[in-house]
Amino acid sequence: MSRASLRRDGRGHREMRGKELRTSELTQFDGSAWYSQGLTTVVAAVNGPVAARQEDYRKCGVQVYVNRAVRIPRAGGTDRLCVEEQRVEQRRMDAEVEMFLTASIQAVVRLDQFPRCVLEVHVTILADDGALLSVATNALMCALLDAGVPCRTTVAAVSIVALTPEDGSPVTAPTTTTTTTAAPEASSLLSSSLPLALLLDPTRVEEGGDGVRTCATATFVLSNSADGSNNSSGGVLVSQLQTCPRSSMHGGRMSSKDLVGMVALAERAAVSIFSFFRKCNVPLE
Amino acid sequence: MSLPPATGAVELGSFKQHVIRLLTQSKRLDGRPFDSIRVPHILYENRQDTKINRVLASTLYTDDTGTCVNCIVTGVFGPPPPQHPEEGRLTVEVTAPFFPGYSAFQIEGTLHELARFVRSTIISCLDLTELCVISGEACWVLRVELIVMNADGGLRAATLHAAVAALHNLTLPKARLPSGDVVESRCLCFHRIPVAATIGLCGTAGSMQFLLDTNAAEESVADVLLTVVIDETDGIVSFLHHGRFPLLLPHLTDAIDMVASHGAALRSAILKSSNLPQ
Repeated sequence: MSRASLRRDGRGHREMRGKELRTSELTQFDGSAWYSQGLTTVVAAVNGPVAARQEDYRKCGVQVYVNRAVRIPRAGGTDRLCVEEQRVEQRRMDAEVEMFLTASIQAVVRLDQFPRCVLEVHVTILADDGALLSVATNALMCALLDAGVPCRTTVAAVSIVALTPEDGSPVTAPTTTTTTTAAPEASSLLSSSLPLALLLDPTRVEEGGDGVRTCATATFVLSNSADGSNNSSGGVLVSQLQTCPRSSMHGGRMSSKDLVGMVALAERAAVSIFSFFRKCNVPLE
Repeated sequence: MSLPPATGAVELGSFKQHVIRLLTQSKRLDGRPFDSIRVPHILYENRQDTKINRVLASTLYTDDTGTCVNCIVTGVFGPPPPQHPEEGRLTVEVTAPFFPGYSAFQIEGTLHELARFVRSTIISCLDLTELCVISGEACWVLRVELIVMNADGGLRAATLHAAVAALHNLTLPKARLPSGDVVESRCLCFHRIPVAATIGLCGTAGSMQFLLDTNAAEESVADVLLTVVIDETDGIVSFLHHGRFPLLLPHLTDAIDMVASHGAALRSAILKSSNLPQ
């Protein structure tokens, strides 16, 4: 993090990375979207709704398959156990993306119009450079629109990283029991007086953080406003917030007020994503 | 996301209609008021008999209605992770062996997401450098195994409480490294204690109704589900929410305040039982 209020790649705090969208490229699916923000690239493909047997026959079932183009290769020797743990952790992150996308589809698609059917979504993560949940959700939204699946609303997903402000005194790691009880209180006072600094559309390095200042990473899925105005969004449909390890020992507290600030920033960022989607909606001639 | 409710011989759709009819009459399936939680009970297994199997802690989480989670913590020595050589390693496994009738693919995805949620929440409240024995050479590898014996909603909160009860005040025993060095015993401490609750939101007849600590039947019919994890200072540790319609900001803050009002009761229920054997 540079001193001149610019990030490592030259962006400001509230600036998103470059967006790119390509639809209808996979002809064997009903709808597909290739979407990237910066270096994070996700391909989403939608099949269906098709008739299938399932238990809850009153509405359409949703099946999301998440794959990665590059997985951690296996290793031998003394690192085998550590590498196997990383592979398991990567597989669980795929399951987390899967659950997040399933919740987004259930919130957006009118599943009750297709009883006894299944909607299949195949998501391939080509590159992961941070903000993976939001890029995958945006790609999925474009694929659903490309497939012509009836939706209640359009959504835009935004990822945000919260940092403790840089103006406070540098907080050192507590070493003894007395400083453990004293330092978090002082840091809590510092962090409660100053609002948290928010980074929009973080990269992977910013998501990992430096272990001290990075408080939390969050992803919000916001719906389009009902009146179609460009000034606000319609509310939060899906959200996920997780505090980072090693930061809460140094007083990185996350309160309800900080959550409100993050959602407000996400709502303003969603307006730019909605306008980007609208500009890509060029009719074919 | 949670496991589907066990409806017995009743069809799932009819069971949902019954729960919806009860909720419109301002009643819940188990007769609780809308803003009450099911107080957990932690049974702590005696450690003396299980020290041979490298089991460091074993807890059984139950509440008044149905949910039962067994948590077993084992520890061995191993190399530290390459990204953070000064830290120990913590792995979480979640299994649900008593749900054979449902789709195995859906269950596996839910359990994987659950394990990731429990692990990321615990490592944000626990200092992993306490598990380090020799920086870059040797560390404790703690394996937390969560067995979901019965699930009745609030699965994230139940598994998190079981894991926190097992890991809080965990004593890493005195042991000998393969090189012959003796490692002294150490007590594992959380620098903040997370407690969690699941809140359901039903938009019936145009009014919003919050259901605190939902069970599985209510989770299948609720329009919005929120999982809130907070610490002692009512700071947010984790926050997950998804639903059928968008939520505005006052609903999110109201949900956090509802969990915060019951945080002290949940925290004392988890920690009081875990301190009994000592």
